[in-house]
Amino acid sequence: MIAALLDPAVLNVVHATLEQALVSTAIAAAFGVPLGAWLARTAQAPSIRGWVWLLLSAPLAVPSVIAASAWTSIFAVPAFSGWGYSLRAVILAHVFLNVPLVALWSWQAIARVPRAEIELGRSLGLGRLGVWRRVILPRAAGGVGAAILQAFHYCSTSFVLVMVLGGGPAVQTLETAIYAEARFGLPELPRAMALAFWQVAIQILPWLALSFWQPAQADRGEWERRGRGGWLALPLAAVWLVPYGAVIAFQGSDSLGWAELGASAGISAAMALAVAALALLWAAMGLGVLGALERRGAARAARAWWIALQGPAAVSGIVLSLGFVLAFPASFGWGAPVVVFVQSVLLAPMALRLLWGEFHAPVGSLHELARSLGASARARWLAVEWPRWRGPVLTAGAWICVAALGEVAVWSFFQPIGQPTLPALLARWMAQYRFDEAQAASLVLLALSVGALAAARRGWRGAL
Amino acid sequence: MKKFLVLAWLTLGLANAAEPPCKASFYAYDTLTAPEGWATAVAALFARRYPGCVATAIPVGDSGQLISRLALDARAGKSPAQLVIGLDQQVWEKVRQWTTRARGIALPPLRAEAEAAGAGTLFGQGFIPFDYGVFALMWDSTSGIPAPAKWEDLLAPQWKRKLLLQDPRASTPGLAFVLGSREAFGARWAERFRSLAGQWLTLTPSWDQAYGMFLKGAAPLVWSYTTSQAYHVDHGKTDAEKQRYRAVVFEDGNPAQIEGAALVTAGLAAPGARESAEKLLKTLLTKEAQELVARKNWMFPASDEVKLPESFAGVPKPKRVLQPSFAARDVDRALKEWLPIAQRGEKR
Repeated sequence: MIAALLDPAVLNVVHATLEQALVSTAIAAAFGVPLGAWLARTAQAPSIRGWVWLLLSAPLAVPSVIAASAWTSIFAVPAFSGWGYSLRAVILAHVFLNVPLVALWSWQAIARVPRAEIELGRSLGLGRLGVWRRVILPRAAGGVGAAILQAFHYCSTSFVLVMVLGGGPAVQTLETAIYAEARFGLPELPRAMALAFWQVAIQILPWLALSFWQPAQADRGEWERRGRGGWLALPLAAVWLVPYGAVIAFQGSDSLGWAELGASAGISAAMALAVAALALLWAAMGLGVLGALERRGAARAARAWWIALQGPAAVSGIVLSLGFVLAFPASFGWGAPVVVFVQSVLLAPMALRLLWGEFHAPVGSLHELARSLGASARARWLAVEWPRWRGPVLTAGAWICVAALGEVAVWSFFQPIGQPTLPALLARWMAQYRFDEAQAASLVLLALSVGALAAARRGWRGAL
Repeated sequence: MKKFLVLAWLTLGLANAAEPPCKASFYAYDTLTAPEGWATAVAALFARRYPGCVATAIPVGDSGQLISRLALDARAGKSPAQLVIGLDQQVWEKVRQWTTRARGIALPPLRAEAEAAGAGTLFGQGFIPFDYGVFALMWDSTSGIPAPAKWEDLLAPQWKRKLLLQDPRASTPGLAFVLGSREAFGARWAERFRSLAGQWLTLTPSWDQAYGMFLKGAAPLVWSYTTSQAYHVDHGKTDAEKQRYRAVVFEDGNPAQIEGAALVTAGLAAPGARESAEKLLKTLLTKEAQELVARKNWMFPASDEVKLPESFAGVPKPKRVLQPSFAARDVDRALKEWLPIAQRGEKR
């Protein structure tokens, strides 16, 4: 096993993964953090702010198969063909995907710095730069750091974009190497495990750091927005969506299989909802234990438990699938349930992070009030708990649906039998020369993802 | 009379109970089992040919997944499938150990290219060939780039970054390209392939990715099948559309893929399972089933007895069918030699 870990071929893949992910993340941060800071500082009408949020969130809702298809359309244009199918192409696609993410999270982190602290800094004689350096950045570092680490995680676990845009073995990452190992039959164990080990190692350190950086409380933004040029926010947020416009150019098809498309859309939606429900259940159970530990005053145990809950986030879909198959070889035949289960484990940390703020929101006085009014436990839950949880649960559920709809790594590992999901139908139609119809399936997949995103937006209202 | 009827009913009932049900389940890759897929049509044909018999498809992603599924079934010692449909030479080399030779199957006269690609030899090993395709470059005749005539031409500067190929580790056509080029270039393969590595635009993870890019105009040449030309002739709306995409066969030969079926050993334990499965295998080779191959699977039928659709008339015949070895050790060796070249070649 040690020999496999230190095999030069394996280490080359580790090096290539780090190189690609670090460069992509650095560029995304270089654009995303200033954009987020500018958005936090600039005055915008609430309706514009809502649109900016939607535009910055939308790239995250574009399934990777669609993003890859859009970029291949762009690289087919002679002016851009020199960029295609190389490390540059992968980095470009990752930058367009991650700048909005970094900007959005940085925006939220900076907007949440309490106004009182900024005023205090000013009253102590700090200039504009001093306020940024001494007050805002230290307070927002956790959120900004989390955004950058999340971008690193996305770039280093990216699968479809690397496979399609990388051009082949020259841009091989740990994800694609593990896939190649298991492509024609069960994988060669030591090599697959060595690749999986390195992939987990690369992910685990940033995620440990991220776990410590989790904000203790979801402060609401109080910072006055005085900067001018709020109208510029819309085009600056929209520009990251431009590449995906290439996929919307659907020419129509004479023989579109609407029934199949509808059935697959239904299966995809049902599976995404099942993944969301299970992931929320895992998150609720995790937070329940965390709450119990905190009530007992076991702070260290609570912190350790929180970090443990983040564990699956340090594992990619391919690695988790590989581990599952190695532990339960028969799981190859378990079909859709195993895909739903593995995806739910994979996405549970996302639910946890989205529910965390509400988990620590102080509501004790409301409970006391309800109790003093003679409300039963059920009535208290309905009157106090559910109204405050509804938004975050809806948001988390919607984001998980978005992620599950476009997830193909776990699906391609198990390829469950029966009615195909939309990405599977897309692949099938392409294999049958039905490229126009595959384009239609892409659009339906995109519409479902954007629909889920719109649901997330409802839950988001008022967060900024 | 009443007693006679009761007796007859009991006799018939007992006879039915003694006779195992005529059911055959089969693994096949996804496009074969789609509603409009060839295997779906064959299952319907099977039910018509043998009244009371039912064939059920178990779709299994793609051909790579077939191997995993059969390996797991063999390990478990049982399988829900009695047959596997959609094997090719590469997959056959890996799954042969888990199959059982069928009895009483007679091959129809094979088409010449199928024979040249080794279909008869494979049949002798228990592989039932039902169709084949010749791998070739598809060329966009409106691109202004000429079509290459032989393997060596691919190295010329005018085809630099004009080729769309597939990754041989993930795609059967991609593997056929590497193995075919080894046959064509012979002892000079490594040196020639190093030059070739600068010629492709990308190596895609699957055939459909490459073909989709080709149709978007990313490059004027894509590694595919000669029958892709028939598809465009069949589906083109205008003469220009029908004639735009042409298959190019090389003077020094093209590799071929043979698709076939086999009995799954782990699925034959139930009484009558083997007989039902053999009936389905026979159905694959009937004239009716073979006639459906061309337009349902866009491949050539293995049988020489069926008429091809008009759109297949202009499909070029290979000058020579290359017959590389798909044996696991040869494939491994080829990929081990190919990988460092491909990795270095693309850093340009």
